[in-house]
Amino acid sequence: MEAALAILLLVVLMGLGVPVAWAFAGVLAYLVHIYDANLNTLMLQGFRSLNSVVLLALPLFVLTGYLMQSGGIALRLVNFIEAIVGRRKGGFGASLVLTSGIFGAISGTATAAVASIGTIMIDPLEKRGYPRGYSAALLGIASLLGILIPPSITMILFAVVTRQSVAACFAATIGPAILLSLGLLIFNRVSVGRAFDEQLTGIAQKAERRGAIAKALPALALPAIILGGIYGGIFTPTEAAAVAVIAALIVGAFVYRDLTWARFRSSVISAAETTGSIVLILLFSFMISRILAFERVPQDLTEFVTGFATDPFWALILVNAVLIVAGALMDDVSVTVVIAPLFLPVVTAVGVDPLHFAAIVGCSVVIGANSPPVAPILYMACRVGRISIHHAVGPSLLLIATVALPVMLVTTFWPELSLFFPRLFGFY
Amino acid sequence: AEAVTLKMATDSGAKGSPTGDAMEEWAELISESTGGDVEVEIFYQNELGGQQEVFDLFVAGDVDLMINWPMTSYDKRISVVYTPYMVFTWEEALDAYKPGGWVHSMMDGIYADIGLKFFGAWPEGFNGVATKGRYATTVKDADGLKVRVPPTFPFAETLQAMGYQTATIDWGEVFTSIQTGVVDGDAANVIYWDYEYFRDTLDYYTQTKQNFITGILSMNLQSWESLSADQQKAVEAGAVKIMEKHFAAAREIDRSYVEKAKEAGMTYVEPSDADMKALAKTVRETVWPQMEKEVGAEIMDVIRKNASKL
Amino acid sequence: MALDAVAIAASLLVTGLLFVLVLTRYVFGWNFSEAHDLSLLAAMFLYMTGALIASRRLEHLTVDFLPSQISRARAKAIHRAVVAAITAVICAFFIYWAYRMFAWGLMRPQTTPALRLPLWIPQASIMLAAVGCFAYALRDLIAGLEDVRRSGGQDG
Ligand code: NA
Ligand code: NA
Repeated sequence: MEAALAILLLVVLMGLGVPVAWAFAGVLAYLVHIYDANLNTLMLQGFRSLNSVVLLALPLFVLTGYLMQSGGIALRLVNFIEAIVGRRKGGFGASLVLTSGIFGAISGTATAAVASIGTIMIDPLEKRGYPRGYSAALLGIASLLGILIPPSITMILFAVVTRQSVAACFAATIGPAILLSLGLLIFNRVSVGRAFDEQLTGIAQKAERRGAIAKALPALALPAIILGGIYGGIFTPTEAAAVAVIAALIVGAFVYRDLTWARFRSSVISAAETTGSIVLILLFSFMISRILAFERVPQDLTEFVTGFATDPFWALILVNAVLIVAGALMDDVSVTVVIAPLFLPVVTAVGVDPLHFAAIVGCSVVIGANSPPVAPILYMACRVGRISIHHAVGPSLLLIATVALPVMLVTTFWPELSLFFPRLFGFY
Repeated sequence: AEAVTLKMATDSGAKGSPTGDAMEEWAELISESTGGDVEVEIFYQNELGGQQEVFDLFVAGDVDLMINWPMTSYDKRISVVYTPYMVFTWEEALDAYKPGGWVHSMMDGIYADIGLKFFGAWPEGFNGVATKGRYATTVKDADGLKVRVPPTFPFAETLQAMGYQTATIDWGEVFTSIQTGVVDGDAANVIYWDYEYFRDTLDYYTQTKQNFITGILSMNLQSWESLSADQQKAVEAGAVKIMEKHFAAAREIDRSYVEKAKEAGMTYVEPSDADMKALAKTVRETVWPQMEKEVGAEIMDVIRKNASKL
Repeated sequence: MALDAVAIAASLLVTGLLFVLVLTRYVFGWNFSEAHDLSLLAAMFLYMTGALIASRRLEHLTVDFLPSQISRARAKAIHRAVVAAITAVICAFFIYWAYRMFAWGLMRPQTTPALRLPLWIPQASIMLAAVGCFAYALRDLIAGLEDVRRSGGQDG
């Protein structure tokens, strides 16, 4: 009963348009009241959860994303990919997907990819015949490659709240990321000529293409530095985030010279703002989790679910359904920090490895961020693409049904897809 | 007496682990000897948050009983349990930690100051240094080996005195950084952890025995004082019983992991008596004066008086 | 703005400290153990000033399904005032919880692991955010009520 009221309160507050962080704080106030929580330690517990070395990667990878945009790194990556695949059938749509992937190997968020790739590519895509709604929907899903390809803020949050190794969680979503990329490329290739006609106009000449490739080399060095540094044993994932910021700064300010002081300043402020709003949600949801832990809610939930879903198949189907419904109604951060830790004991009770579950959660975020009514990434792609939402919802739902959801199901029922890379790197 | 329910937690064991089993046994002993007047609700590792978070709950009285690693954030004097080279054998360790033992009396006073009642030790054993590529039994050989140490004083200082380079790496990144090779080894754990997590990565376990690694059995002082004299006796007797049982068991567990590590291809190195004494002498000379600044001369005098002779 | 300056300084500190930690460890084998204490301290202020900036610019993550359905100016203004009022009440709780954390910290003071800095220094960032967000909620409430009054005049 109390739980139902708490969920109702959350839905009402969020639905009213109260910012998500304050909606959580409101639910917390309710729980503090009904469970008579000890206020001596309530906020202290929240403080502890933020005062974590591993979490330092969050602000830094967010900042890296903004610096890639303001430092001209994103632009060079787009030009590079276009030079390589732009002439093939479906090539421009494919370049949107591949650029999102490379962008994702440097940045940890989807928002930075949507903002920069969308700004650069959606107009040229329209000139070549891609409907704006289609491009926005494709960008909405493709940008989420950024949270499946390491580094990833979703996986950092998952690792922090479930006490897993960050680098291992990073590795767990590589397999699903490859599958999702392939799915998106095939979907795009099939759509060209059926959903719309592609016009091969404005194709770059050979010399231009060579130039684009050469100019992209410094940008392409970034993922090599970051991932090479982590898996080559030079620095930890947290430290990698600081190295990424420094590298993006150097490339943007001294190699491309796009990063002025004013743009740097506004990038840092925007990054701080993004981080701050994520962190407040994290703070209050941690405090909620702690109260729920005292009331043994995770244990009860595990008993309840494993009580009727005795074999892993049905338990996983149920958890998938919960993740998708939660993803439709909540933002990605909330799903990762509230739903994931609640259901981790449930899935481990039926023998699912935590790293495998990390990959499932990652896939659910890809869907959740694009599934209405609460679809922050899809809406952002529409805003950046200057197209009204109802033009993009159709293509987006089609993409989810034919690509993102199948990827999630394959990830769920084929553990080897997510466990292969952790094993390769020696984490599993 | 009135019936009460106490909350017991740990930061170091899931259900079914040795610590988990011990909590269940302790809870049962308490319930039995109070005729069911005192019942105990158990929270296993991570169920109420991380180490520091559960310790906060413990100090505040939200949790009443704990088996946990000593945390130094409320009182830096608690780091005396990490004083290097205090004892050299299991027998000396048990004598020091059991009720009436010298470490016990010392810790009881310090714990009382932050509102906790000290019952005894929950030992893991003597630690060592696990490394990749080469190993060291002398200060000179350790030169250039970079090892991970916990952020707590005086682990880094101890390993530096032993000749190693140290790197403080957050607990959340220890496994990753050892596996990827950010550091050459792990330097404050008993062999169990290095076998369990790094047997494929690290080649040597050198049991330099700089610390006797132990968890602590204790209770929130207010919760303790709210119990009747009989109930108190039941809780303390239960603690002493599982402590003594574990002193015998831990030694066997530690020994069995030496065998397992060897089978898994790790080389187990025991420094010669002369090397060990040389290490202990150097470390005591370097680290103990630093400890005196941190914990005070009074405590260090107790240690100097009681520590095993070289 | 002072908030912007704190956010920039804190971002640079977190980045710089961790970068120097990597550099000195990798190149010289040093143990710069203070880096974690200091960067966590800077990060807490980065998080909380970031949250404050988001409040200032009304950029907190919001489910804007309902607001986007409202078209009349008066209804929009009422909605704004209601959300601001709810936010202000919730932020008042936030302030009280932060206050209780400090009160407990006076009774049982703690320090950070490496530098032994008093824990209330990083915790102060939370109080700063609580009070600041409450103030911004009041600002929005007053502005919302003002709009309600004005749009009411237009409609009548
Ligand atoms: Na990424
Ligand atoms: Na959604």
